[in-house]
Amino acid sequence: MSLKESVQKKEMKVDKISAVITALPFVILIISIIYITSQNPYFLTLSNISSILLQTSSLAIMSIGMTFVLIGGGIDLSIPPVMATAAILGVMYMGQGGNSFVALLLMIGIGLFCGLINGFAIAYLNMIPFVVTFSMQMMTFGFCMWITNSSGVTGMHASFQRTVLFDIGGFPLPIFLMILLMIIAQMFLKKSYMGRWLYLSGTNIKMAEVSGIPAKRTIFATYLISGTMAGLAGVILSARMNSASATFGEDTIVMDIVGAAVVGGASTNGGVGTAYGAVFGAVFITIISNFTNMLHLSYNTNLVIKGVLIIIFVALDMVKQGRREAK
Amino acid sequence: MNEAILQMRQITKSFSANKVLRGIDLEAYKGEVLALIGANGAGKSTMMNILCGIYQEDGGEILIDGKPVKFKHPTEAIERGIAFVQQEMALMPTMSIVDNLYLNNFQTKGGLIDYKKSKRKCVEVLKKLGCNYSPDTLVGSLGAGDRQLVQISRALLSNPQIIIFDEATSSLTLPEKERLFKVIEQLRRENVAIIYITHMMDEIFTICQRVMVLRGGITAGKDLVSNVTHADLVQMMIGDKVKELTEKNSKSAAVSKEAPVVMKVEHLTRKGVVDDISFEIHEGEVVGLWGLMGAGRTETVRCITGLDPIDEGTIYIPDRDAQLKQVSPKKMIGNVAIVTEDRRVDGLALEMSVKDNMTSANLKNLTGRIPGFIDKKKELDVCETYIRRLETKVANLNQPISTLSGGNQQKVILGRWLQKKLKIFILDEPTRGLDIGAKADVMKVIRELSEKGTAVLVIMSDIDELMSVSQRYLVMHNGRLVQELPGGATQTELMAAALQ
Repeated sequence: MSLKESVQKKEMKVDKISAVITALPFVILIISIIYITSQNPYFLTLSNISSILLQTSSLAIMSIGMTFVLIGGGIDLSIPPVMATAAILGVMYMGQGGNSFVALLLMIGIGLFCGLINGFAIAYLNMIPFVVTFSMQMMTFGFCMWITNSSGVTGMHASFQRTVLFDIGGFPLPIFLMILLMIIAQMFLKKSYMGRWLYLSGTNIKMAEVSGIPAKRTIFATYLISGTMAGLAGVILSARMNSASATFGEDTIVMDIVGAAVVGGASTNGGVGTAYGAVFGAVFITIISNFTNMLHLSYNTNLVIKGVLIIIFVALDMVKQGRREAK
Repeated sequence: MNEAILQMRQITKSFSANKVLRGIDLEAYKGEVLALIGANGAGKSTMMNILCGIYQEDGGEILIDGKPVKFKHPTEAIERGIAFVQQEMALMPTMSIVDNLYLNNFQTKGGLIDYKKSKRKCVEVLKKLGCNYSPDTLVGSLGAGDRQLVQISRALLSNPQIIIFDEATSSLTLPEKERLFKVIEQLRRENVAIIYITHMMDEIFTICQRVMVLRGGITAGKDLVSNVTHADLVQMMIGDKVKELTEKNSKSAAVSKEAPVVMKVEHLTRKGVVDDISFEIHEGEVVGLWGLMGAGRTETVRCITGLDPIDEGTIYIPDRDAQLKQVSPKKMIGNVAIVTEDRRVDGLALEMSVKDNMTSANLKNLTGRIPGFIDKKKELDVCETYIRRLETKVANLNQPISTLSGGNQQKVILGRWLQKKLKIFILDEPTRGLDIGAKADVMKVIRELSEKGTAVLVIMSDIDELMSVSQRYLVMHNGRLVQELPGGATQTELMAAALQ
């Protein structure tokens, strides 16, 4: 057997415990869906699936952005309030009579700009991702509260909303956008040389530099991507809500995003993660939220459950990592 | 003639199959400084680590004041009056002198640190060394010499009878060095036994009374310093080398100076690390960068390849028209291949696959019809070609590189650069930690590169290995390039140049 053929058979020996850990979210998801359907027969109707996927889309897009950052070995805690900032300023601009298309560019541009600051500070000033993006989170969230007086902002153009939520065969546009972005991101990560650079830089940045890879630029780019994804999520969420408010950027949402990425297989240690996983994780988190809502648990209980789940998944990820290194 | 306070008898030690110490006798006397010298890997550090309880000897015995002792832990050695002033600055820069002095054994009162008492003792010890710093000074604000004194103070706290200095002067300026010598002299007069590890010949003749030479884990000689000459010591360090002659025949003749220059380095300086390095390398030439541990060899190649910043200096490589053009060190990787000293630190992405590690430096050239996307077939072909060429043992290109042996990992790194067909290879300890077979394979690669016109700059601490491939030597000492020697240089000449 030639070496090239050996590549086709993916793994020689699959580590059983790692396999169980990988399968765990699927099992939980299926059990949840079965339970929800037994309680609510309408759950698996096409229109409900469409509505759940629409709910998922903004989270999924932000998780894709987060996954890029996590693969690079960083974390971006500022995604939700950056998304809220983009949404608020875009809607305000439309409320002032601004053009819808310019508003769209503005929202994405704001995300990109915040990502630029994060990325510059982390990649080129060697600041710690946690500190930089946490500060950015405080800054943008404070800005949102201040500029909106903690209330909702209206003025969304009907045309903007119609276009963003354009219906194709019963499914609104954001669902297709989510799937498209997922495929592009996955292709980029797994097939392009820059994607490979990212995995190498996230696994061992010194090795990447010794290999002549522009590792700093690569890490910088991941924050641009997460910022842009935040802007895009702002577009979708504001259209869906027909308004914008600072609550879009609440600090608990960032844990949904990290949770989705980690459930989808990304590692907080860097070097691992996929876009498919990020979207799967977002679906997982959304359905679990639906599930706990159905149990009539309070918002706060909900948070506790999600927090516990995320810690369990990060812990399991560490177990998987440990096993991989031990081999 | 006084009694030996320390006797180490027939000490042996192996690390897996590697016999590092093969029965060494060492004696240290009160009120005397014993110089412990030897080439890299002679066993000096292992010997001292055993004395300090960091390693445990496999065989032999240690006697202090004639009584046998066995240290299972460093604290036991400290309790018996042995102190080790290490080469590395093992201090906490963000903490004060007094904190650094006590670290793990503060004077306490009711479970809390008794700072009053601690500081009093600290000032006392510092004074003894002629140091007037307040115990609250942050260690980070001190110079290298003063930090060294803090380390010595830490050693003195336990009132040791035996003090070991490991390469104590390597980072000191001349006045700092003189101050240290005074301290050592003073300790000697107080009847402390001192073991002084060094690479600097002149220091032996300045401050030591006895000298002991190790070579390849055996005692090559010991005597009173007054009975030996510089040349005697060099001879003891390298021993009788008959092997030399036979080895040299296998290596190709020196490359003529007429051959085109493929890299020229001028006045390369990184303050406090490397100083004013200038040299040229010609096409097809294997240049051995030789020097003892800490001479600045690794630092030099890291500066050349932009992995460490430089303060001054220019590097030239030929452009397309074969004209030498200045190039920034940051752009050197890609023009030169670099195999770094410690592959686990910066040579490999350990969690990633053999394939990913193999092609990491060449991805841009492996794209297919769609720009920016890797052509899977091309990538696998390249991996397969170089894995076969280097006879690498790999079952599956997707297996994590961490599952390969050291030799096979090193071959993957070599394959990473061979596929780029570069004109310059810089190899830092390419054979370190490899078994004999893999070592021979790496040597073969070096010779083949040279035959095909590639210039190779190679660092190896094993002088025999280095001599078996080098056609010319650049010798470093203390961060400077001190001598250039032809390929025909003998081991004695190389050792003498490195020792200065």
